[in-house]
Amino acid sequence: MKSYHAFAWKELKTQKTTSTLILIAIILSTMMTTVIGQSWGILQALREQQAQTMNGNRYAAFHNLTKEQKMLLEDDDRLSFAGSNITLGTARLKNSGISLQIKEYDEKGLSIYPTVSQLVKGRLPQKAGEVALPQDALDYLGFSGGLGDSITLDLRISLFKDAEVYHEYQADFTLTGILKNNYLGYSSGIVTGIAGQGSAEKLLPEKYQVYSVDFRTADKRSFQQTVNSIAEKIEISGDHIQYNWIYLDVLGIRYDKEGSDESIAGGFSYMTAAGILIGALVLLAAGLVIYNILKIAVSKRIKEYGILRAMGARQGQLYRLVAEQLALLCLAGIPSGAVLGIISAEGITKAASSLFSPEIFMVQNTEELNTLIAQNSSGRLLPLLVSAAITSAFAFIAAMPAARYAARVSPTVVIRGIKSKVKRRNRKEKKIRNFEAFYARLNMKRNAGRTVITILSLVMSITVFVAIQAFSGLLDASRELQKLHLGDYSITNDSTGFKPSVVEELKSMEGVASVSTLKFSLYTQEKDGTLPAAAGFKLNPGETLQIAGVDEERLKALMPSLTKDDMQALKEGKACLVKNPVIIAYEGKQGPATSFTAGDTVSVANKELKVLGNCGIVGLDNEGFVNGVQVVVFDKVYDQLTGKDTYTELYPVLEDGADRLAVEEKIKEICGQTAGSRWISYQNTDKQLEESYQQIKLISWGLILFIGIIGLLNIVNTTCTNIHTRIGEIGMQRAIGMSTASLYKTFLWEGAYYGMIASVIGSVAGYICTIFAEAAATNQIKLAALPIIPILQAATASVAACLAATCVPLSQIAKLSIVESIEYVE
Amino acid sequence: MIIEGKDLSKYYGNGENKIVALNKANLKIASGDFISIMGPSGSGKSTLLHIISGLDMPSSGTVTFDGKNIYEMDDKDLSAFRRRKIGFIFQQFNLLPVLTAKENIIMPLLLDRRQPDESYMKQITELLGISNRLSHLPGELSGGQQQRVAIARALIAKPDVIFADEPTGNLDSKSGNEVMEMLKSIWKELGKALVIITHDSRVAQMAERRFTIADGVLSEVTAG
Repeated sequence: MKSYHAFAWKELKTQKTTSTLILIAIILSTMMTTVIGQSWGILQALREQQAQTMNGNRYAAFHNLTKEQKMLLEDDDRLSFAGSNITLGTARLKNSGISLQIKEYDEKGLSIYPTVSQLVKGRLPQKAGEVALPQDALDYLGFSGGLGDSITLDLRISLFKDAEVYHEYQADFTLTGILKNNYLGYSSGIVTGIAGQGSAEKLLPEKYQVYSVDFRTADKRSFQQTVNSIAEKIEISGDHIQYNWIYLDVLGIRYDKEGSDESIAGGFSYMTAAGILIGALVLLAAGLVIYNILKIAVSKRIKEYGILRAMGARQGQLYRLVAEQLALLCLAGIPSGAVLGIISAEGITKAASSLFSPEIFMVQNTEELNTLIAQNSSGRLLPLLVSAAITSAFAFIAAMPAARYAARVSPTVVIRGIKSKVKRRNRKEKKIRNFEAFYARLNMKRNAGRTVITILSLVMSITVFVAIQAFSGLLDASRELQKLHLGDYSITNDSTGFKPSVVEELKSMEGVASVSTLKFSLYTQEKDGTLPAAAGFKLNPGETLQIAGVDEERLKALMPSLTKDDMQALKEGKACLVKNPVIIAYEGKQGPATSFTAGDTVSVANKELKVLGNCGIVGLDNEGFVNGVQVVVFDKVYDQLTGKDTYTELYPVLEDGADRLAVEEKIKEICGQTAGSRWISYQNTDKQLEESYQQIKLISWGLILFIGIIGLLNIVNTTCTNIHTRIGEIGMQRAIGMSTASLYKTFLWEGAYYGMIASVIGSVAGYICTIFAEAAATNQIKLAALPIIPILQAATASVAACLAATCVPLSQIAKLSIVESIEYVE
Repeated sequence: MIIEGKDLSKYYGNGENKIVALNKANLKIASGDFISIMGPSGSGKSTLLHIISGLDMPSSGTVTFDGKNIYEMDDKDLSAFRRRKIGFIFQQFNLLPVLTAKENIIMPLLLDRRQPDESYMKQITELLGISNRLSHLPGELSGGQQQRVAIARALIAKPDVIFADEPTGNLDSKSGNEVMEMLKSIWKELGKALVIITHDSRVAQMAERRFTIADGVLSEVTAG
């Protein structure tokens, strides 16, 4: 032994169990931080893919552009990408509630919409008059021909903010390709067909040959300034700018929402916050394990440290001895943890992604997806170094109290022998019915520090478990798209409507959880400007009056700030919400538009309604907004205003595991009974979105697994320590007749108590995190729904895991000799 | 009640390192016996007590309780035997530090899923002079008081035999004398068999039957 430093190494070798436990904790925490760092990259890449799939690989689009404006954009070097398209018009697909939009793309323009251009058969159109259409559109059109055959489409097109209603025409195309169905389009009510280049010039009047240019800016940080500056340069108004907010949110690019001054930070910052929080919890849990184990290890050897102090060792030297032990373990643990972390991150993602269709992520097959994952998971040296540094820092911080304890020990006290004095406040004489449980409770109180740390590390796991389920919702870029439809189906009849009895019939059907409804009437002006409905106000030319009757839930969704009194006023027919018309520009000048704001009063059918505020569009699913004033009232009030009680649209929501076929049969029957009805299922849309969400969720489960293992490690350590520090007691208990089974029960009760207490605290903490996660998503703090299922899962799993983790060291008890235990000097 | 140890031997180690802790010892304990086993440190007296009380298995020989070999019992039955038939008093007291004196005393009953007989509890705690110390933790009691608590614990399950391993070894002479007097009066009043291990000849003299042990060889001291 050349130096006293060698003592550190010798101590590590002597205390194999302790050293192994600390080593595992270091490996696991490095793995965790590495997995978080690596997975975050992978997750972000997958989210971007997901967002691109939904709305194209573009940040925004300028609409209604002339050819000159389009060329200016293509030449602008502030844009890293600019691809254009022209809309030829939309064709109504009978009995479906969806429309077929025909677009002509330039080569670049189509490249950013891979889901739109996936061919099932044939080829993409190459010249004017050729078209490729989705399979479902062809089915709805009743097309029975094949590739190369002619197909006639009834198209209509209108310009944004145009005084003229629309232009209708019929065009013959040659079908060159059949496209794969894209159910995501069902949410917006539009599926896309592709026309060959030159078709627009051939078919459309010049007025309608307007371009849309999708673009990405070269500099993400100055995105909004670039957009504003370009808009100014090519002289287009904010109304013609469409932001791809799903993608922008994912990328964390700041942009102006709906022309307001408010700048939206995007979901990424919340995601980052969630990541940091989870990472911090994980590190804290790992830190607690290291602290707990080291503290116990040092306590066991405190006599040795006392002797060293008596021999003249300085405090600093003892600090160093403890730190060196940890450094040695970090040296072995961190590289191993980093390697395992990289493998795990990639492994978890690949395993998860193999369950889902690669198309969701805009790649053609699993191999491509794996390549994508590999690209995003390797070569990230910085996160690796950061995770190593963070783990080391946490480990050393965790080791500090133990090192301090060792360094400050009084040699005389230690050599004389330390006898810890047991304190117990509660000594009430109660009948002890279950000695094992009673003794377990006492033991937990007796080692309060150890108990707190063990429970705390478990609490971390449970908090992460509960909270991550809320966070994973934030990670899901598709969630916003799912909100676009109210039910699992949309059943529409905009002529006669559905009788209330139909709604009741649907509601009472097995498998139907609820039915949202919409009553909707649209009134156009007579030539003299009067309206069929008695409106106490005058509309501007071209505007319509629309009255919508919705239920309480939808009113709340339209205006979350509604108070109880507001709701009461709405129900009593004293108030309404209003959606104002869009301001129309005609020949470059903005025309007049009717406008109501909160506090105004509108009169409809001789009823005075106070405007509570302006809301978003309330209309039929998959129908555009017909410009006009929308007066939104409570369901029953609608009947009084319009004299009608029929429903225009029904949105049934199914229970889990409902017989969809039976429900669909019923819907068909309803549609058959009421002429002019149509329906659409969002099942495939939701399924497609749900799959991509599950992917993200599974990765989150990987994270939960790691933190769970760390928590269990602490239980194993605590139980081991409890056994070692109580050997004498165990021997005595055995001597006076305690069976091994009874002894096991005592320790198992301790494990169960750890699990039960931790699950209660962890559930509360998890719920609080859920509230914050929801607040991050909705920008307002309110009590979130109690995540009962995750809480129950966490509680059951933690108690079970605690029991299992306790069983591991219990085998030591069976091997203990009673006589040796009694004679064991603690 | 008869506990009988026949040809009891205990070895540690192998070959050249083999140590004989107990060499073919024979001992029979009947109801009402008061036996002392005396010998110097390392003579094998504690080994003998551990073996005969069911704590440690002999390398050879048998221990029977009313004719039944106790080392043929499984852990459950052997534990029950120790709980119900045997009472232990240790030199180190071996009380559970987290339990009060009363809880320590009743522990053998609780392990047996039984509740204490309060009048018997009162009787023995008053006999031992600890009835006013029952809510104290062991750390709050003197050595003599702790040993009295340990004696009460040994008696609570009304065992047939009490084994005391150097019961006065950790006490000053005054407390030691008090404890021995108490043990003797308990033996007389309750009619239990009492086996005391000691290296103190004065303590050993109190017993009716006396044994000595040296280098693992047990021999009974005959009167005269």
